[in-house]
Amino acid sequence: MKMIFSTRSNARMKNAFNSLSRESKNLLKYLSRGPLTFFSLTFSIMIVFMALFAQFITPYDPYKINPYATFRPPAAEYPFGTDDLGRDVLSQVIYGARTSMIIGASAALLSILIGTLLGLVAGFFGGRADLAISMFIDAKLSIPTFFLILVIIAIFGGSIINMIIVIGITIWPPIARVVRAITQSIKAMDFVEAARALGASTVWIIFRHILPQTVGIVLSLGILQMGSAIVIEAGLSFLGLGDPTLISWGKMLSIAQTYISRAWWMGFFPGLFLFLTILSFNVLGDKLYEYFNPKLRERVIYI
Amino acid sequence: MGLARYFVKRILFSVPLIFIIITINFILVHIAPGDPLSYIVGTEYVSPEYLQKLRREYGLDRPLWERYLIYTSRVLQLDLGISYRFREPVINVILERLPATLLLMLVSIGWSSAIGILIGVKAAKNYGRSFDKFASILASISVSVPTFWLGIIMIIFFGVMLRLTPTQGMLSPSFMGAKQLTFEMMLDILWHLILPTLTLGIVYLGTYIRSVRSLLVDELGKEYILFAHAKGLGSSYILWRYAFRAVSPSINALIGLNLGTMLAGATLTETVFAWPGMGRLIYESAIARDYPVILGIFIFVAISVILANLIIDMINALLDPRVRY
Repeated sequence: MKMIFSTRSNARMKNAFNSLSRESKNLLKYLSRGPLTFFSLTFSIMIVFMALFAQFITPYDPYKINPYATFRPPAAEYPFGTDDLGRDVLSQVIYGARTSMIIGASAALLSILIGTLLGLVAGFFGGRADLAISMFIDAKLSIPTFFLILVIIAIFGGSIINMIIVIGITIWPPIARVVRAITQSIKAMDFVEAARALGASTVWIIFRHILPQTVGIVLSLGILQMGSAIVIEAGLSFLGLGDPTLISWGKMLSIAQTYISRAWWMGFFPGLFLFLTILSFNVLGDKLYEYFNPKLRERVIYI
Repeated sequence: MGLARYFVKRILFSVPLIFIIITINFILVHIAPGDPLSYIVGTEYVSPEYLQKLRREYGLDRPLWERYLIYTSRVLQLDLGISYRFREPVINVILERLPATLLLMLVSIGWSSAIGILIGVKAAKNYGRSFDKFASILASISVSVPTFWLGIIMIIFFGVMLRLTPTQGMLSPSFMGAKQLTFEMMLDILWHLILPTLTLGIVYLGTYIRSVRSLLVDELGKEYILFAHAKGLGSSYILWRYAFRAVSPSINALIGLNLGTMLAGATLTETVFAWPGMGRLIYESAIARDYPVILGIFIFVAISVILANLIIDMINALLDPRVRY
């Protein structure tokens, strides 16, 4: 009996695994279509790689000051040039990718947790909880996000932990809205009613029937949020409110501004990487959103 | 429901929002590091007796809920405290910076919404074809480019390399201190406006292209459009008189949202170009830890967003009977 049971569950696992690998193959195919999408996929993989292995691929120590090599324009020795203190710009750009990824991923994760939880509560329980959460989201929408974050960081200081927390707790409303809508629509379906009639608990319904349906959409919004978190961190560091101990693209741009007429490369390259990273995450997030929202894919127009 | 009743209902709906904003601000003031009194006296040394007197005057010795009521009534009277840095009422500091930001923002939102709408409409009309693809790539680039980097690139290219336009400030030194606004001075301001508005407008452009396109594609898929075709109406007539008209309330709402957030929306752009507006004031105050100004702008911005939304909703209600019912 036990034997049979384990083979059956093995078969089920295998089945799930097969469908998962089919799904991811489809997804990969979808994400390789079109030049911009393909570029975004490649570039984000490259940035993640840069962030993970920064210490192995940098040609120089990014902190190393060299008074004999200040303001070198891009050349074979220093592909992106050097800055006012003779530090290698390329190496700093590579370490900057690490900072961006850490802050982007953590803040996006935090916003996913908060957004999913509040969206579930609002959508599933409705009533007063829903009213309070929706009201809060509306109030939040009347304050520009970057401005709100800037105010809080100006008051409490911009350490990396502060930045992650503040960005995370301010960018969740889009996720909460979508999760709320999905939860409401699934909750109204007959099979949920049937599950409840069979004695399924609220927790079971949420984890078995509702959460799995939100994974794709939440993932795609999470990638979009990662892009916003990265640009917010860069903006804060550009204004001199970020973490002073970190190498950050925003901070590099802020220093470059002083030497703008002397060394264009100091600002051009970190900004270019910042731009391409945000572009890639935005494009990938949009494409994923489309993938998980088949209604958006093939539409008909009568004109 | 009549128009008047809709207006009253809509106004009543924004009242709680304003109180939520004031409450958030009150919480920020009280959990901010340091004694709230330090926002009033600044960094100056004052005697303990005087502090005690101030504490009583501002009601800081009262219980929290009473302080909340006092704070709310002060904010409603536009008393936002005194700036440390300028030794002036915060409201005056803010009002002084308002015109520069309004000029920059109105011009930028103006041209980017006009061009964005045109591109968005054309993209929707050519849904799935090459112009549509071009427009969506343009929109992706536009919403992704960091304003401050774009600003720096503009300065390097137009200011440093071509030496075409001024890159800093709003006025040439020769006009500074002038009492009256002359025609030459206005031209000079416009000349200084070019790079900031180009930068800011490019960033706004993408949101307009995207929203207009997706709203219109939805609309053009409806059956009344097919029916209009069957009646023999021309494509551009259907596009503008039927579909565009139907989606214009949503476009108005988007422009309204941008107009509302514009007071705070340009911190980075204004900093790059040393534009003397509110955005730069936010940055300077953040660096100088001038909390009364930061929190004052916070309330000012939030309330202006709520008012802008209110006004746009009223305009929409006037234009579109569907909103009213």
